[in-house]
Amino acid sequence: MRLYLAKIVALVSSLLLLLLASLFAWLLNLP
Amino acid sequence: MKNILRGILYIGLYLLLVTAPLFVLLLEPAPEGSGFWIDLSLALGFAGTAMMAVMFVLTARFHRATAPFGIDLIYYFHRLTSLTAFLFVFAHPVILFAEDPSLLSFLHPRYIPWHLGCGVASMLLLGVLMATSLWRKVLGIHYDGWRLWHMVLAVAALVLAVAHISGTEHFSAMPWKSRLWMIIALSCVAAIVQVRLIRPLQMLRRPYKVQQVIAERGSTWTLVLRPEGHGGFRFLPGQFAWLTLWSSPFAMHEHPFSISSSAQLAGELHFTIKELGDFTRRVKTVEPGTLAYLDGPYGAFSVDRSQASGFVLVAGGVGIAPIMSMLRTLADRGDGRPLLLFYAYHTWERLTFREEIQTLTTRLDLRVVYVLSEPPENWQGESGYLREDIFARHLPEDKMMREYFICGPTPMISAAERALSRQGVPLYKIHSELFDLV
Repeated sequence: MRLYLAKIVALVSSLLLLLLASLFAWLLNLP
Repeated sequence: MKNILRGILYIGLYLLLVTAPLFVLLLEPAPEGSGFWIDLSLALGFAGTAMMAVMFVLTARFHRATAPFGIDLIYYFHRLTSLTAFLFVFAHPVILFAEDPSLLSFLHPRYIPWHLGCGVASMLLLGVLMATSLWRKVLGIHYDGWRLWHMVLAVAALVLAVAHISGTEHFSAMPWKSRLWMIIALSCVAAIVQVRLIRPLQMLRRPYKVQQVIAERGSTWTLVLRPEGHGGFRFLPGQFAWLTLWSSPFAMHEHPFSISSSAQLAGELHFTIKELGDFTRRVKTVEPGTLAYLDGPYGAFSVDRSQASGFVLVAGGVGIAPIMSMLRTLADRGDGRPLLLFYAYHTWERLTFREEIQTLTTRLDLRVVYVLSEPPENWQGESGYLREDIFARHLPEDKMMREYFICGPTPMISAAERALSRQGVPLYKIHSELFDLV
């Protein structure tokens, strides 16, 4: 259970950061 | 319930901390866009650095923050996310140079700007940090030396990364945003000061003395410690502490071990240690009277955190140590709840605590299932590794009402969790303690 929790939080936080990084790049380059 | 809420709060706080630098950068005045891929590369660099910075706080052993999860899980999480942080940081130059190969000319040793040099150095140090952490045993690096260099490399990599960010003109028009990274770096240094200076100082004031070294079955030794001039600490059965022997608490020669004694036993702590590495092989040579220092207790692996009507305990090898603490404590309290212990080991002869477990069956409502991978001739019990069919044969009828505690090597924990889950045991009722912190 705990290992799954750690894996889920690690995966979700990494994906969230990747998404946010893409959003950051997209927002900065809006015309 | 309180721990679950606190756990959710800390997960939220972690997400906030790692994403905050990117949110802050988007605040007005936002930097000018340099093209999607260039800006994505920068954002990944920031995200990776923010994750690295949060690692310092994660591993600073703050009791309140680690209590809902157990510090073993925090280290496991640290290992998982470090890899992602490294990939993010590594993707930063890769995307940048792929998008604009002319930027490679800046890497010429003669003309490289100082902040770019800092970035390259940080990247190289991170590479060394990752390689020595992932393959420490393969590379034959001693644990104590590795820990010291791990900290030095991590601090150097972060300081260089922050210098790289601060020197980049891209964001220098917003000095307060640049200053944010200085604050992040200082917070990391504060976390290091807490765990490497303040806490050792506290440990130095509360020494312990080795009273006895008891030989157990299976190349395993029990150290009996008594507090010197103070009352020691209270712990929950199943928790562990970082033990320093033969050196000062400032020397970073500490190792995590489970407490195996009863939590009801005042003024004495037992640590049961199997000969597995450089440090553990020397434990049998400890002279009574030797000073020891403890940092603890840590861990969320305890029957005291559960209100279940009964427990199923699963131990593999020296994973029996925290389970013994639970059994001894429950016996001392006269606890009448039903207990089932699965104990996996190689041989019957080397089975640690074999005799005492037998005695405990008379003091507790305890049933024991031994699982031997190298059983003796005429062995009537279970053999091989802990498998689902073994659980299926022995789990009690009220298996859904029980709480499960597993301690042993990580592959055994994963296999036991999967097997129990297939047997219908809800995952939230299964608790485990990881031994391989590093």
